[in-house]
Amino acid sequence: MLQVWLLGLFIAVITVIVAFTLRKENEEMPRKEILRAVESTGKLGLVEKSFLWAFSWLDTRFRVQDYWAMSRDAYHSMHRQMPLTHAEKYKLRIIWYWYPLYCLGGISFLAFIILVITGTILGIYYVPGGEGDPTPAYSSMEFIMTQLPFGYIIRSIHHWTTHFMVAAVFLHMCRVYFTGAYRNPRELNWLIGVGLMFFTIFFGYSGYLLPWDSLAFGAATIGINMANSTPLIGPWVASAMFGGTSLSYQTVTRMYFLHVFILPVIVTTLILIHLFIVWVQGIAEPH
Amino acid sequence: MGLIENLGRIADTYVREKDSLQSADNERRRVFVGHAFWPHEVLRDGIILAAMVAVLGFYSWLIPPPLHGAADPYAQAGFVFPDWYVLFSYGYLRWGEYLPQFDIPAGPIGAFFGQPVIAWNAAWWGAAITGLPVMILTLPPFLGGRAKRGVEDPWFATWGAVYLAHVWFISVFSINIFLELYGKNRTDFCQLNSHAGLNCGTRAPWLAEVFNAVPWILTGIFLWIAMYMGIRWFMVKSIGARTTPKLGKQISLGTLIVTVILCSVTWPVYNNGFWDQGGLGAMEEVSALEELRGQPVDTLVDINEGHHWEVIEEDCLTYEDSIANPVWQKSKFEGEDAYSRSDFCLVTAEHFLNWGIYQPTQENLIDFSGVNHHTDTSVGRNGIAQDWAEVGNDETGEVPISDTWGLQIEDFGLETVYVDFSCNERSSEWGIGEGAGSLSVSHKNSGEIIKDGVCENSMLKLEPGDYEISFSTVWSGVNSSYTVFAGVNVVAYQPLLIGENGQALNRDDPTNLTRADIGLDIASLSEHMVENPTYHKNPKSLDAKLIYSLFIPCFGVGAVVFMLMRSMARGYEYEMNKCYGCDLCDDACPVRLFNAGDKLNIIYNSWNNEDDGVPMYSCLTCSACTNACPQLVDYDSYVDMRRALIVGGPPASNIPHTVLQAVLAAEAEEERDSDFISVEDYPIDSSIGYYPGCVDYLDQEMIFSHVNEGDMNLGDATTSAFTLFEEMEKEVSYLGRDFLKCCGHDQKWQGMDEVFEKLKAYNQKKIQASGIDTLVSSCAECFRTFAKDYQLDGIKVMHTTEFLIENGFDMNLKAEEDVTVTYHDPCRLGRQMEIYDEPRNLVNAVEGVDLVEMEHHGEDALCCGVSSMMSCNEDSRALRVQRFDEVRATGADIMLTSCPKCVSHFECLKFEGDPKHDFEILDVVSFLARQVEAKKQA
Repeated sequence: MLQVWLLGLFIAVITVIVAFTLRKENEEMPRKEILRAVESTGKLGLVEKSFLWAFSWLDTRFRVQDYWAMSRDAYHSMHRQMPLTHAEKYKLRIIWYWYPLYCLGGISFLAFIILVITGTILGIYYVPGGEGDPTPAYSSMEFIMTQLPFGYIIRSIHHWTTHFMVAAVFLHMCRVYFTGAYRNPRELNWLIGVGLMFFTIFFGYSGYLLPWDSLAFGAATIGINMANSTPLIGPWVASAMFGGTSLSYQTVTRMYFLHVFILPVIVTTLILIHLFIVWVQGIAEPH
Repeated sequence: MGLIENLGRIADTYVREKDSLQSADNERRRVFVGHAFWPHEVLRDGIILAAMVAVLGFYSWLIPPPLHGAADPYAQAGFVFPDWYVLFSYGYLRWGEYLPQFDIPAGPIGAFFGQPVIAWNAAWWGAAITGLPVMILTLPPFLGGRAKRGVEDPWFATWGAVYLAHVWFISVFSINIFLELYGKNRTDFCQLNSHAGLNCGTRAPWLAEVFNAVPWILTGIFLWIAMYMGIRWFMVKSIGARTTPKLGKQISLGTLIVTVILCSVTWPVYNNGFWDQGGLGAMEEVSALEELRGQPVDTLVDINEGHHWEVIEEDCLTYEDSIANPVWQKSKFEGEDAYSRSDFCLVTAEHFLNWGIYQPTQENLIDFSGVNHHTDTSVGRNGIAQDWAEVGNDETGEVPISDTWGLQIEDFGLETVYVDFSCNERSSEWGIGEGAGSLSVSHKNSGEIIKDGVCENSMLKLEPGDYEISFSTVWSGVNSSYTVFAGVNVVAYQPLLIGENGQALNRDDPTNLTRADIGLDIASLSEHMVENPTYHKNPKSLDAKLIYSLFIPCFGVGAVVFMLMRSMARGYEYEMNKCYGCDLCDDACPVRLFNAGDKLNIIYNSWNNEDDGVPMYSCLTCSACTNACPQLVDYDSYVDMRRALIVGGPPASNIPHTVLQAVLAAEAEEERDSDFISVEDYPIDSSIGYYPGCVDYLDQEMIFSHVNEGDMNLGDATTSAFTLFEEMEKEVSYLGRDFLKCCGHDQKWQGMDEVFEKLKAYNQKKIQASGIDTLVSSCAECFRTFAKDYQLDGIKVMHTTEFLIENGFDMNLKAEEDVTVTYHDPCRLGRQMEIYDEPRNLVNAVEGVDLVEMEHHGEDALCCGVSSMMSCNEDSRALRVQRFDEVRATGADIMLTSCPKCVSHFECLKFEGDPKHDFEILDVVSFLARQVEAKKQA
């Protein structure tokens, strides 16, 4: 009986909230009229109308106008310091020439996006389990490769994009180095870039282990040996990274967690900072 | 209501925002000279990224990633091949195996961590060194300085190259086992397949050879450059300026010769894996090397499984062709599931001579596996074999066994022969009886005992000859229900003999010998001995070479980069180093005058590289900065060199008259030579030649759409010049554009040196052949180019104005009506050739002409805004407008100049139709000719 009462109370509360919300909107937000009034001030296209509609819809709920004004002020106060685009700044009239070298960072970023998308799809079917024979990890890989529609091509894209990304990151680093672009004022971004390269390689390594096939096992053996050999804290390092001082069912789960959570969080953050700095400082002068 | 007001404010804001967005470009005061972000950059990036996605999709479709067998912790570890980007780490791990390994007691700290010792092993070496490259990467930003190109600061490019070379070599090092398999110098590549057959294919051996040689060649290059720089440094320190370029060339040649000799002589040291040097982890105990007994053998190959059958196929013998070879007698061809012999063929031992490293201590390959059947135990030739099975004695329980044999070790010319001795003895049941055999070896003739004692498996090196071997043993405690087994086996290993058909000779089967006349005598057999191709080669030579290449050869790469950068940099560093940074050029630069944001053309900033790069092309090379410079830095030459470094010349968008440019460039080619009249056929009847230049027919051949609407007649300069020559009664030969090619001025200053050099070579030859001694031109650009950039021996190059003055131009000219003129100094004639007075004197000689000077004149004259058929843009237009304003300020009716190019550039502005520009623009020569014509008419 209590449940019925509670349910009734719950429904009542909801009803009141909804009614209150609706009442408020009905009474204080004559949106249609406002929209009509705004539209009468000038001819608005479909885009403007949609924008206006969305704007007012949001405004009635979140008082967007305050944030709008805030961001507008920010824009006006900031945009004079914003960098010109590359071609504008250096008055370039030619697009091709050596430019592909300046696209390597963009290629890495696009590769990262592709990896996120394909990785998410693979993550739906992949089972990070290392216990059993064959292990769930391996069985799920077999499933992806042999039975899942488009499974092998998704993994294939994921696999090849990794190579693209690492290669692009490395060449990007070479380009930045040999054009001297890492120097003042871009030292910080270079350091972030070095970090990103390291994490990219570590990304590749952790992903290499996930299928838990013989190759992965061999690579994991080498990795755990290296981790174990660290003076004094070797076992701790190995336990932190591989889930134990020797390979076990924990290893796959640990690598999976690194590969799909810790590394993505770190790398995404670093990429955003990296790109933001590029945006603020502008691309280094072409040579 | 407040809300309505708010919404009103939103609407207001909306409209205002829309306005401001639309006019954002104006607000930002961005001047779009270059391509805008939208759509150009977006399009470009889109195309590149789309191409990347396409390639990616293709590979993903073509090569799905492999999924190997499931991980099995109990399986023996197979060879692990990491992804390429961690190869460097893997390489360090492998290198770690060669580095010293030790344990460090960790004391109380270790006790705290539960690690009493720090084991400094290969894995930790690998892990620790892996961190190094990453750590080194964090250093560059703190090594200081602004952004510089490699050409300005060769050292940082050099260190970058050294770093990359190191990473490359360590990555390669990690997989040298694969290189051993895939890239070795051999005509075949075979691998075992699942049917126990061999898959064979061919690999080009030269690639492996080149790869193998690279580190040593790089070492040589490093040596060469180091020696050259060292000797040069010493010379400069000791004899200073007497270190001439010629001496420098001699030093470089000398050091090159020394290096080549040095590297050639030491090549075996490297190629054998630093064997004798005992370094770099290559060396092993010689005794261990002597135990290596691999040898090439005749091998059956499954013809259906091979990769590529190019070389092997022809030489692969079928069963019918090699029926005598024992390899065909294998059991797999017998029985129910037998393989068909027709599926196999025989790759002879000869093909495997370069396979791996055999018997590194043997000069000739030895037949350790006995395929030659050197041993004939029935006569004691090269071996003895005997087995006993003696039933025990119930009475004494003793079983004596002994025998003596003669052993003949044939003399194939080897100093010593490896002889293996092995004995075995046992009773038929474990634990029954005991005995210990003894074996003695002695010379048959002298009786000298070489070895005597307990018989155990051993190896002796004996000289060829006859020996006596005796074995004796006595077993005790063996009754008749047991048996004593014993055996003696002696094998002397003689050289491997490979017959003319490439197969191993079989001495037991003479039909296997291809030449009937070969008997079994030693002399003819020893013709078939095989020299060991890998004699004295360390089995670990590949590792040794690659460990070596982690160091010195990387510096070789660095040295090459350094010399390249240095030679590029030296081109202008002397000039630009003179800069004080005083900024006077900044004020003088006409480009900067109208493009203040463009700091490109002042010397200091260029040298310090804050703002150069592509806008290099905005420089007009007018020499105004050099004129203002207290150090007289030759900035034009710097620009010239910098442009020349850019392959392919300036971007087409920088060139207003692309068709003309293409026409002139095409003219430079040799196949166009026939379009020009030869020296013999050309009417040259004077020692003075006149070259009209290209402007002469610019307005005829080219479409200057708006210019042609006007009355500019550039050909007039030539006609006028000849009017004056006739008046002065000077015989001048017209060397027209049907005789000479374009002078190449524009190409040179656009940085298209290759085109310029072709034009120059052609013209120089023809001018020299034409027999003239004076070359006159009215075009300041042609004049400058002939005078400064050509090497015309014995020919005086003159501008028309100069020529007129020197030949005493005085024609008592008088203007029809008084006229005020002003004179614009062309930069090519003025600042670059220092001709200021001649044109002015000519004009002043005309009566009734009042020459007034503009604000900027003489050395300080402004440029006409365009040069070298480049940079016709808003900035240079503003420059011309400024020049016109100066003309108007003088009140002159006519603007005179002495370069047809200046005339055309000013005319171009004039025909835009601004009514303020109502004065006439004339070449000095045309102006004078006009007075002459008037005088004639009068």
